[in-house]
Amino acid sequence: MHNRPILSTCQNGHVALDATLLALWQYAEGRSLEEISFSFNTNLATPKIVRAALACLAEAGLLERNIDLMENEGLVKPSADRQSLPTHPQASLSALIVNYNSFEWLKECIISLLAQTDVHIQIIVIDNGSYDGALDWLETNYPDIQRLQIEHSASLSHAINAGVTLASPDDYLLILNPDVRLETGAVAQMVSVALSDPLCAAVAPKLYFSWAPSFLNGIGNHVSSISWGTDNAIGHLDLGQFSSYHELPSACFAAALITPKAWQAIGPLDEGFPMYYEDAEWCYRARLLGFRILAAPKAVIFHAFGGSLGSTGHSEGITPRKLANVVYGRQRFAIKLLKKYLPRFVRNYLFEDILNFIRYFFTGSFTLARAYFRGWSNLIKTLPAILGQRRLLQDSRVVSDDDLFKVQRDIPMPLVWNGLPELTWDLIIDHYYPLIAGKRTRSMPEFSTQSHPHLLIISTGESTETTLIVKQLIQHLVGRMDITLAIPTTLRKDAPGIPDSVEPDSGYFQQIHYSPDRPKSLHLLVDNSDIAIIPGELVNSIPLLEYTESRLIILLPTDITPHEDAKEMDRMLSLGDFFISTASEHYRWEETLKSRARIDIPVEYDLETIAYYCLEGSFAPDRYPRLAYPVPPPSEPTRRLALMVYIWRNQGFRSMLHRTRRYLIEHLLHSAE
Amino acid sequence: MKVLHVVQGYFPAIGGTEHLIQRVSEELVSQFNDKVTVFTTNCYSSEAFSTLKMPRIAQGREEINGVHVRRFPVSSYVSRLFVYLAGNLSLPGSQYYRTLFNGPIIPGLGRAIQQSDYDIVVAASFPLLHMFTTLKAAHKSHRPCIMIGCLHPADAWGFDRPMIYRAIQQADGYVSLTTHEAKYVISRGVSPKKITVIGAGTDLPLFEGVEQGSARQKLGIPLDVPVIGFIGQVSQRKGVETLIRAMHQVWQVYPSARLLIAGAKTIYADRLAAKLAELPVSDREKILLRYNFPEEEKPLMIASLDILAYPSSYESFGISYIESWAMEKPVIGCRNGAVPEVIDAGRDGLLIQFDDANMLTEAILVLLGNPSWAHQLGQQGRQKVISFYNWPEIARHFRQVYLRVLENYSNK
Repeated sequence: MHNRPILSTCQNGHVALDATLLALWQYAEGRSLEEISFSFNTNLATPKIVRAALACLAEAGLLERNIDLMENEGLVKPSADRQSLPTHPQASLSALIVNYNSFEWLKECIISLLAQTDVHIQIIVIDNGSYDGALDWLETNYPDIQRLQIEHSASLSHAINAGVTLASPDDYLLILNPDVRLETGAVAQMVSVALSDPLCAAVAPKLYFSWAPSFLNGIGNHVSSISWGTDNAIGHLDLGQFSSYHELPSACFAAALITPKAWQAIGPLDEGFPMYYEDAEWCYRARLLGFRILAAPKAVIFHAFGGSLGSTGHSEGITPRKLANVVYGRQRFAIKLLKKYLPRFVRNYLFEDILNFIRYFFTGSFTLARAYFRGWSNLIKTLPAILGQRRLLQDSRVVSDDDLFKVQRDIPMPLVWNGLPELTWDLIIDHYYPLIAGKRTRSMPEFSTQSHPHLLIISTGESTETTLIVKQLIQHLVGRMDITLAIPTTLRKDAPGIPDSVEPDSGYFQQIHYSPDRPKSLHLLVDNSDIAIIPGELVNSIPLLEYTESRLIILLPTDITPHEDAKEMDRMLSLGDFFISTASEHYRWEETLKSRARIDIPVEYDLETIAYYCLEGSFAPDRYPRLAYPVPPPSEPTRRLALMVYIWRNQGFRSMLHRTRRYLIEHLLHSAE
Repeated sequence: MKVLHVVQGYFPAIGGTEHLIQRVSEELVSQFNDKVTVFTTNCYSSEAFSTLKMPRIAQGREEINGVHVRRFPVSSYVSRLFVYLAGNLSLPGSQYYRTLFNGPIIPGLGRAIQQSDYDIVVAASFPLLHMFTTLKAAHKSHRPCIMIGCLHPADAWGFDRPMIYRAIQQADGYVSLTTHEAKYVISRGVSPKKITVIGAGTDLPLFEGVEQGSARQKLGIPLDVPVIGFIGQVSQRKGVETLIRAMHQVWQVYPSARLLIAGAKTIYADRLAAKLAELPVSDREKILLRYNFPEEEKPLMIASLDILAYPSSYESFGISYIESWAMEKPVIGCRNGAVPEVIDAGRDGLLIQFDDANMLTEAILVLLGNPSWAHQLGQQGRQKVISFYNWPEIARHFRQVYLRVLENYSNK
């Protein structure tokens, strides 16, 4: 297709590759990892890059790992994301599904929804004027499901708003497309995230393509000043790199949970959107009013993206109707919601529309060119009404445009080609390999023989209880991780309870000494490990832990209460990716973490679970956001002329011109104001 | 296969690129019986290209370990003319002045390349002028040209020159030493199809059988004191001053420790001398400074160390690290450029932030305080050298690239 290699997935979907990756895919057949890594010869093909490419192909479901060969080469089996289910949240939900000629998808959706046993769900199905027999089928097979027939097909927002009137006002609203299938526990995960933050308006799960289930359809979505609104991370191969997502710009209403409090405060969906942008508008509106949209990375839902239009996953091209709706929708979105950014959005959209109109016109796609006219004429007709809504909304907003769009700064670019997720050699080199090598993904067995994760255990040797935990952990993990135990110089190597060696040949274990009066040396050791276990009482004496790339496990102290030393406690609890406590203190620490908005952060006392996290957690990015090491800014001269000469000499002539222009613009604007 | 290597310096000149080309050339001759000719300058270091009062090697032809070497004289006084245009004014188009200032301006090099008998020409390294001369001459004589850039992307003055990346685009192949460098070159618009990543290597046998005690005796270093070493080009960007600041703190804990600074002398030597003069006499006495030592002394230098601290701001590869690993020495480097790709933090060395003297102090103290751990790090490093970074293997990879480029060129 279009001179580009396409591979099929087991679920009848497709993934777009390039020639190099296809060559590797063909070459890998029946060969060992070692052989492929060193003999596959192409551009930039270092063994590590080849291993990363093989890992991606395997994770994408395009290659199958040969378990026997892997075991012969001493590799460990692949692991999945850890799914820890929340403890049965007491919440009642209404699930709203709008059906429009999607009877064939609806059955599977209903079945997966009924399998969500952790929460009580009242299902409401709204047929948006399609009369495809779905409601009759429901009446026969699931009489408990509430049904609503809309006589004439209306906008999606109208259908959802109509459905909400049937739900109890105290219910969480789960909005679903009929072409989704929920994994067990998905709804409970979403509810758990919603409960964690009183300002949560909506929760977005991880949506995967049902026809290529290793690739993300998205985790929420966003709108920017260029191009169309897009699902976040669409087309990305999920290797676990999104597990740390927390706050999102917007939720995609293909599957989203809305809190009853937010629905009452924000109001219904804007029925002025014929289709598209209604979800983003509601979410951005919620955020303007001070609410937050959260991600639930452990809630997994599969989406037959485009499925309700009868697609099998291929892009079927753009229809004039869809184009007109998007042209209209994004302008309506911008005019209604934005203040400072409004000129930029409207100008960019207009510019894009003009260019595309010319392109379609001169390539003979007159129906598409006409869609731009339709979109803009709709906008002009409804402009007075939109401006009225804008006035009301802008009066009550509490968040600036700058803050509104700050959240989406780090959203990665989509990786799709003609509607298909793509995987290319360049993407492996530039995107996936750095993720795997930087341990921002799950552990990949292709990398497990390179070296085991390096675990640093810092011990003070003071508390017998924690010393015992350390000793047991070492026994559990040696051979599976490279372990370095750091003990204070004040402690003898053979002090009671402190292990100074392990069985010969059982694995890498080193005991080293640190000086208690040089806490920076501990930071150095932490920085040079993959994962570090630090006693809670030491955390505050170690500087710069905020900047480390290593994962931090905090051994919670037994002799202080969570309410003591608030500032120090805050730092300790904000730094940990994972916590170890005693069984008796476990519940109290968990509550303390929740009270500091650190939801879903594990606090464990069971040795097996701790060992599991040490192994898997070194590859799981849990701390968010990570900070870059502070770089002192270059000292710039303050006098204007000296500054320009400085810029000329240090950054070049062009930079100087650019800075001068910017200064003049800012200066003139300031004078005008 | 007949190969022509064009490089800014060749043995006995000291430097990473110089050594890389020398070892690849010698391996091609000894392993594959290839005919290898090297065109180079008569200078010991690249600073001599624009500095008149620097020692020179005799120009002319000679054979070193089966490799034919021809040394050309350099017109340093012409490069010198561009010093103010290149360095101080940052005028538009300054990349050209900077390149002329860098040199080497070698009269007759282009003509000699065109007239020579070879199948493929390989040039190293940027940002020097002979790279452009070589490319032009190779294309004029209709023969393929491969470039080995040894780029330092963090050095904007040296490498932020569009002409470099235009030249790489025109070349028939490019060898980068690390993936970091390859990605940078791609980001500057070079097609990934042209690029192959091959690391550098070391000669393990050279570093075997040298005892620390005897090495220290030969170098006049006391046997029972900790020795921290810096071995490489002694220039400002290599972090020598950070190391001296760190050593000042180390001496509070280990007063008898010594600091060995050894490597090629550069124009930075004067500034370093001034810095050393500012130190208290007690500190100065503990610093051993050795410029332009003979190559055969390098194993002695490394053997005498307890730790190699090479806190350079950026490296295209960092051969010093692998040479130290060859002798099981733990290393300390910075989280900059290609170094984190070479050093596996906490397993075969320690990484710190650049210019962080406090953290460098801690790294040295922790290693000195835990000698068995430090030795373990060095051993792990040596394993890596045995597996990946040895010259016979590296030269084999280079030859594969040469053959592939040659084949593609003849199919054109």
